[in-house]
Amino acid sequence: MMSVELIFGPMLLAPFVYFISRGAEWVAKWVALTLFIGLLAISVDMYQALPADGGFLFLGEFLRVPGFDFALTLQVDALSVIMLILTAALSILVVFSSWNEKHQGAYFSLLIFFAGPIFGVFMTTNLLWFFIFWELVLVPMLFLVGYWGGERRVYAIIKYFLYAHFGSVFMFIGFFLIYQQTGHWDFMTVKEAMIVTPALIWWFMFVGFAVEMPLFPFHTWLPDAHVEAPGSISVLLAGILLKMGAYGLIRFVIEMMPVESRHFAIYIVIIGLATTLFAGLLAIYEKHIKKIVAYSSISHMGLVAVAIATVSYDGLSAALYEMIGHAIVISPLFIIAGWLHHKTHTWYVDEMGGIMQKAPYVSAIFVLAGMAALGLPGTMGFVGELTIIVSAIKEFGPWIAVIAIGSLIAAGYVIWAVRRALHAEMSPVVAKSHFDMGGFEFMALVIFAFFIILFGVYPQPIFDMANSAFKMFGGM
Amino acid sequence: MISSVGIYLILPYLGAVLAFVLGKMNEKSAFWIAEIVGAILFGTSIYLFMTYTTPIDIDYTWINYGGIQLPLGIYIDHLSVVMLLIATGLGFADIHFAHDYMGEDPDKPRYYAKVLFFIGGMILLVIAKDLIGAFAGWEFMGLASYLLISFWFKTKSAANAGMQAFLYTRFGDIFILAAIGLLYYFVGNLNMVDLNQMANNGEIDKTVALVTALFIFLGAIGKSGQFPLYPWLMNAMEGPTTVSALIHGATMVNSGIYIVARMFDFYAYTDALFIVANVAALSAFIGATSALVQKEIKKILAYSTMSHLSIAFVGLGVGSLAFGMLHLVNHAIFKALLFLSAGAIIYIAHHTKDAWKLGGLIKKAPYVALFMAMGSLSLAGVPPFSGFFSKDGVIAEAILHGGPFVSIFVTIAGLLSIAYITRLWVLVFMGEPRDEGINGHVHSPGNIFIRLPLGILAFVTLGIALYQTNIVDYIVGHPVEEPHVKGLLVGFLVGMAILFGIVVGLYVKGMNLLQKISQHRFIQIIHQILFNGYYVEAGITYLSKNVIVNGVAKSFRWIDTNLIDWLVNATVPFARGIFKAFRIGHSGKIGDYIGIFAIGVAIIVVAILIIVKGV
Amino acid sequence: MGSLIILIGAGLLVPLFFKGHMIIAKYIAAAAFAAAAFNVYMGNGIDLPYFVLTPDTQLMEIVVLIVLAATMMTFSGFERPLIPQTLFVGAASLAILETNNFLMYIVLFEVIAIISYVLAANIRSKLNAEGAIKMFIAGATASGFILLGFAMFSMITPTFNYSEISVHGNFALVAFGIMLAGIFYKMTVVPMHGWAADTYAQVNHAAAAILSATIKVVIAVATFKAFYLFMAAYPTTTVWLFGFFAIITMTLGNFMALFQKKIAKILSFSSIAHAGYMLLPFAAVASMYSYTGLIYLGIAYVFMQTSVFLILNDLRREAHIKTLEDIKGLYKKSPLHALFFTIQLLSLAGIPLLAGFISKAVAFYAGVDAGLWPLILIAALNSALSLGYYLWVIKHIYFDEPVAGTHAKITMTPGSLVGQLILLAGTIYFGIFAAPVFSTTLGL
Repeated sequence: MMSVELIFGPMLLAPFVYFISRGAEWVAKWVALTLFIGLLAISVDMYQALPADGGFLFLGEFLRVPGFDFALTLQVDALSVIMLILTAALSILVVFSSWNEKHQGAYFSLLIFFAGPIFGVFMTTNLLWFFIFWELVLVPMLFLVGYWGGERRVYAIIKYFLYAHFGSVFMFIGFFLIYQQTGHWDFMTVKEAMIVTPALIWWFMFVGFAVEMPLFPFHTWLPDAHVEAPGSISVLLAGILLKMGAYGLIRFVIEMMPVESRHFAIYIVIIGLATTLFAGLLAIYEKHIKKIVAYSSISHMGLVAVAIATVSYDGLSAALYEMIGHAIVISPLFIIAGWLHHKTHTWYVDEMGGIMQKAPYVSAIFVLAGMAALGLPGTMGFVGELTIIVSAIKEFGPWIAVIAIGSLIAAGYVIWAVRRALHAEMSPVVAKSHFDMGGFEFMALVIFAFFIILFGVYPQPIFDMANSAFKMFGGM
Repeated sequence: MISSVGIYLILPYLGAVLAFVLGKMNEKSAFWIAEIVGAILFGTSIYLFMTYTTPIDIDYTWINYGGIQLPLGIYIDHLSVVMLLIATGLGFADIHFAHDYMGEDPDKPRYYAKVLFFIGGMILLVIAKDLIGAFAGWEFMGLASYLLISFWFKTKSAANAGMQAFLYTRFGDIFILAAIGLLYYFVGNLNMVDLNQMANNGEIDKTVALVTALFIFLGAIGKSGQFPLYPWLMNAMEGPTTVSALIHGATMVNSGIYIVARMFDFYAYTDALFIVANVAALSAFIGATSALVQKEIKKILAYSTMSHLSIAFVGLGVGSLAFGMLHLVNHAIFKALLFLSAGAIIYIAHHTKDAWKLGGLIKKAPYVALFMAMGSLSLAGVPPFSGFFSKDGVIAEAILHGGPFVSIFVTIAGLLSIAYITRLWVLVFMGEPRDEGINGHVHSPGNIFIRLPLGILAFVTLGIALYQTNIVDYIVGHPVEEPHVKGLLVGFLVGMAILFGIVVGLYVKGMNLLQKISQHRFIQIIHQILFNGYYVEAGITYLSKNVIVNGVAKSFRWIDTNLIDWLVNATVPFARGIFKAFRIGHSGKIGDYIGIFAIGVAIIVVAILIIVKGV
Repeated sequence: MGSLIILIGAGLLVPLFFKGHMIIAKYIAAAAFAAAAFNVYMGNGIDLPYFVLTPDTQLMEIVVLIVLAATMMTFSGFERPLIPQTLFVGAASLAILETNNFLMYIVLFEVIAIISYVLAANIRSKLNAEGAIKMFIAGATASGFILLGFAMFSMITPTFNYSEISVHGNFALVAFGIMLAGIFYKMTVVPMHGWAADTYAQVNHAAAAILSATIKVVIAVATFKAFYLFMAAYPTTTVWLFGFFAIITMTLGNFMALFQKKIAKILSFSSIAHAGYMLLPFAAVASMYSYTGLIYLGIAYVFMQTSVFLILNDLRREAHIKTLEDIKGLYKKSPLHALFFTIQLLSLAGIPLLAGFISKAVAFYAGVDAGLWPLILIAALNSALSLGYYLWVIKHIYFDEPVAGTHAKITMTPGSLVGQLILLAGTIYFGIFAAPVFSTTLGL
C-alpha cells in the first residue's frame, strides 16, 4: 500500500507540473484531476483495508531520528481515512469548480502541492510531524488566496497566516511538553503514558485547534479569509482546513486526553454554544453575502465543538457527521457566493435581488444548500443537528436543547439572504449582469446538491464509518 | 397495503421531479403528470380506506450508531386514513382546479412540482409513527409553503410573505426539535403511539410531559396560525389562490391539530390541554373579529381559517378528540370549497382580490355563487350543513368542560362566523358592481376545471353532514354521544339569525348607514385594531427587527468589529509602537552603540553578582 | 593539517588569476573547498596539539565549507577579492571549531575578527566605509573586554583545556561575564548589536552574508564548546543570563525588523533575532539536546541567511534593488530569484519541511526539556511574529505589481544559480532529514 508517496509525491510533482504547464496551461488541471481521483481511489482502498477491530492500519515508519524517538509514523484509522476520502473528494470538486480559473499552471500546481501536507496531517500519528504538515498546509493557501484573491487579499491572508501561526505556537509547546513528560512523539504511545501537567497541555492544544476551527473568540480571521479567497478556495478553507482543526481536536485532545477532556468539556460546550449563537447573529446582521456564508460556517463549527465536547461515542460520531455535512453544505454556498460576486461585481445582498429570475438553477441549489444549513429534514444539516442535540442532551442534560435556537437563527440569515439576493424585483446591478456558469462548475454544484440529499435521507453509511472510528469510546 | 406506503413515500417526490423535468420540455405535461400522480395518491387513500382492517405498523431504524437509535417508522390508523383522504383528495381537487387558474403562468412545471412535494410532506406527516418522521413531513410542508407563497417571487410582497411564513413557523419548529431531544433523553422513545400508551400508564414524568407537550404545541401554534404566530397566515395569501386553498386553508394548517390529536393521550396526561384550549379560544376570538373588517376576499377567509382552526383546537383542548377532529375534517372541506370559489372569483375578475371592488357577480357566475353560498353556510354553522354539527359540538363541549373564558370566546367566535362570511358573500355577489372597470371584463368560468371541482366539494360538504356520527366513530373508535347544553341550539340559531339580519341589512340596503357608523372615531380605532390583526404582526416585527436584529445582532457585530477584531488588528499599531520605542537606540552613531554596549556589560556583571548573592 | 594548508594555500594562489581569469580563480577555490571538505569527511583533522576532530565538528565543518563554497561561486566583478578571504574564513573556522583549548579559542576568535574587518573593508562607497568603520570600532571595544575577561580568567585557572577547566567563585563568574560581553558583540546579542544592524546593511551584501551567517554560527558553536562545562556548573546563572539575553535579543530583533523599508535592514535584524534563538540552547544547557539544538540551528541558519543575503546581493548588483518598493513584482522580473528568496525566507520564518523549522524545533525542545517552557513559549511567539515581516517581503514579491520604469528582467548568473541551488538543497535536506545531526551531536 502506498504511504509516504502520497505525501511527498504531490509535493514533488507540483514544481514539475508548474514547469511543464508553462506552455500548455490546461495540462495542470488534468494532472490535478487525475491525481485527486487517484488519491480518492487510494483512500477508499485504504478504508477497505482497515482492520476490522477498529484499530490503526500501520503504513510504515520513515525518516527515523536516533535519540529523539522521532519518525514519520504513518498509520490510519477510520477517522483519518474518512478525512482522507473527504479531502480527496472535495479536491476533485474544487478542480471542477475552478475549471476556468486564471493562471491555471500555477493555480493547479499549488492545489497539487496542497494535497501532500493535507494527506500528511491526516495520516501521521507522530505529533511533531502532524505539526509539520499542519503548518505546511498554510503555505499553498498563502499563495492561492494572496494571488487569486480579491481586493483585500493581502490583509486577509496575512491575518489568517499569522493568526493560525500564533495559535499553533501554543499547540507546539503543548506537544513539546507531552514529549518532555512521556518521552514519546507518537500518538499511540502518548495515549497510554501519564502526563504530569495535563491541564496546561490541554489548554495549549485546545487553543491551537480552536483557532483553526475556528471557535469564538478566535474567529475573526475567517470571514476576511473567506471573503477574499476565490470561491473554490473557500471550499478548501471551509471544507478541509476547518476540518483539520476539528480533526486535531478529536484526535489529539479528546482521544489522547479523554479524562481531562471530560473535565474541561463544559468549557468547550460554552465556547461552542457562544460560537454558534454569536456567529449566527452576526450572519443575520451581515449584508455581505460571502460573510453571511462565512459566519454560517463558523456557526456550524460551533455545533461541531459542542458535539466533540461530549467525549462520547454518540457525540463524536455526530460531530464527524456534521463535519462532513458542513463540508458538503457550505461549499456550494461559498462557490455560489463567489460566483455571484464575480458576475454582479457587488458583495452586498441589498444591491442584488431578483437573481433567481436570471439564474434559476444556481439559485435553486443555493436555496437547497441554505435549507441544509438551517437543518431542514431530508438534508445533511438536519441529521447533523438532530444527532448533536440528542447526544449533547444525553451528556450535558436538557438545558443544551437551547442549541435549537441556532437553527432558528440559521433560518433567519438563510431565508433573509435568499429574500434579498435571489427573490424580489431585479436590481439594476442584476439586470445588467450576465449569469453564465461553466459546465464543470455547475456539475460540481449538482454533485454537492446530490450528496446533500443523499446523505440527508440515508445517513447510515456515514454513521457506519463513524462506528469504526470511535469504537474506543464505545465502552464508556 | 404495504405497497401503498411505498407509493406514499416515493410517488409524490418522483412525480415532482418528473413534473418539473418533463414540464420543462413540454409545458402541458406538467399538469397531466401532477393530475395523474394526484389521482393515484387519492386512489391509494380510498383503497386504504376501503380495505382497512388493522393499523399498518412498520418499524424502521433510520440512524443507528453507538447508543443512539433514531427511528423512522410508519403507522397508519384511522386518524391517518382520514388525514390522508383529506390531503390527497383535496390535493387532487386542487391540482385539477389549477389547470385553469394557473393556465397562463409560465412557470407551471415549477408550480406542480412544488405542489406535489407539498402533498408528499403532508402524507409523510400523517403516516409517520415517530416524531422524527412527523417533523420531517412538517418541515417539508414548511418548505413547500415557503416556496409556494413566494411562488411569484418577482414581487417583493410575495417574497416577503414567504420569508415571514417560513420564519414564523420555524420559530415554532425549533421547539419541536428541542422536544424531540428532550423526549429522547427522558423517555427514550420517540414513537407517538408508544408515548400515548406510556402517558396512559403514567410512565412519564409529569414535568417532562408538560414541557415537551407545550414545546410541540408551540410548533403547532406556528403551523396552524394560532396566537401569537398567526400573522404569516394572512400574508401567505400573496401566493396563488390554489395554494392558499390547499395549504393555508385545508391541509397544512391542520397539521398542528393533527399532531395534538395524534398525541392526544400524551397531552391529556398533563395540563397541556388546558393551555391548548385557552390559547385556541383567544385565537378563535381574534380571528373571528379581525375577519369582520378585512377588505380582501382571501384575508377574510384566512382569518376565518385561523378562527376555525382554533375552534377545532378548542375541541381538543376541552378534551373532545371527536369533535375537534370532526371540525377539522368539515373545515378542511368547506374551506377548500370557499378558497377555490374565491379563486374562481379572482380568476374571472382578473386577479382582483379586493371585495369592495367587486359586487353583483351573481349574474355573471351564478354557479360559483351557489357553491360558495353552500360553503359559507357550512362555515357559518347553519344546519343541515356539516359545519353545524361539529361547531355546535365543540361549543357545547367547551361550555361543559372549558371554563368561562374558553366558552365565552369560542361562542363569540362561532357566532361571528356567520357575520363575516355573509359580509363577504354579499359584498361579492350582491348589490351593484362597484368598479365598472373590473366588472366589465369579468368572464365566465370554465366547466370542467372550475365548476366541476367546486360542485363536487359543495356536494361533499352537504353530503358528509349525513355521516357525521360515522366519522366520529371512525376516528375515535367508538360512538360518541353528542353533548347537550340546554338552550344552546336555540340561542345559537337566534343569534345567528340576528347577525345575519344585521349584516345583510347593512351591506345590502344600508350602505349609507354603514358609512356613517364608520365615520365615528371610536369605531375607526376599533376598525384599525381589527384590520391589523390586533397589531401582533407589528409587535413581532418590532421585536425581531429592533430587538433581535438591530439590537442584539448589531451589538454583537459591534463587539466583533470594535472589540475582538479590533484587538486583532490593534496588534499592528501596537507592534509599530514597540518598533518606534526600540528604534530610539538605533541612531546609527557608533558612539551611542558603544554606550549601549557598556550598559550591556554592566547588566551582565551586575546580574551575575545579584544571581550569585541570591543563590 | 591538510585542510588548513589547502585552504590557505588556495587563498594565496587565487589572487594570481584575478586579472581576466576570474573563473579559474573560482575553480581553484571550489576545488580547495571540495578537497578540504573531503579531507574533513575522511576524518583528517588539523592534527596539532589542542585540536581534535569529533563527529559533530566534522558535520559542522563540512557544512561551513559547503556554504562558503556556494557563497564563493556567486561572486562576480569587484567581489573577487572576497574569494581568498572566503578561503581564509574557512580555514579559521575549521581551526576554531576543532580547538579544545581556551587560549587557542581566544586567539582564533581574534583571527576571525581580523578576517571579518578585512571582509568588510571591500569598500566601494561611503556607505560601505561607514559600515566597516562601525564594525571595526565596536570590534575593538569588544576585543578589549574579551581580553580583560580572559586575563582575569587566566589568573585563576591552572589549565586552558576545555575538559579540565574547573574554576569556581565570584571572580571566575565575573571574568566569564566580561568575556561573554565581548563574545556577545560578535554574536550580535542585544545590547551589543548596534553595529551589526548597520554594518550588515551597509557593507557589501556578499560580505554581509559571510559575516552574519558563517562567522556568527562558528563563533556561537565554538563558544558553546568552550563554555560548556562552566555553564553546566552554574545552571541557575546560565539560565537567567542567557534566557534574559535570548529574549531581549529576539524580541528586539523581530520588532525592529517589522517595519523596516530596506530589505537589507530586515535581514540584519532577522539575523539579530536569530542570535537570540541561538542563545536558547545556552540557556538550556541542562538538556541533553542543547548542543544538538545549537548545531542544528547553526547549520540551518548558515544555509538560509547566506542564501538570502546573496540573493539580495544579486538583486542589488543587477537591478539596484534595495527597498521593499523596489522588490515589488519580483516574481515577474526573475522567477528564480523570487523562488529562492521565498523558500529561504519561509525557512527563516520557521515553516516546516525546511531546515529553519526543524532546527528551531530542536533548539526549542532543548529549552522545554530543560524545564524552561515559558521561555520557549515567548521564543515561539517571537518566531510567529517574525513571520510577519518575512510574509511582508513575500507579499511584495508575489502579490504586488512591478513599479513602472524598473528593470523588466533580471538574469541570474550561472555561478549564482549553482550557489543558490547548493544552499537550497541544504535547507531542504536538513529540513527533512534530521538523523545526521542527531546521530553526530547527541550527548556532548
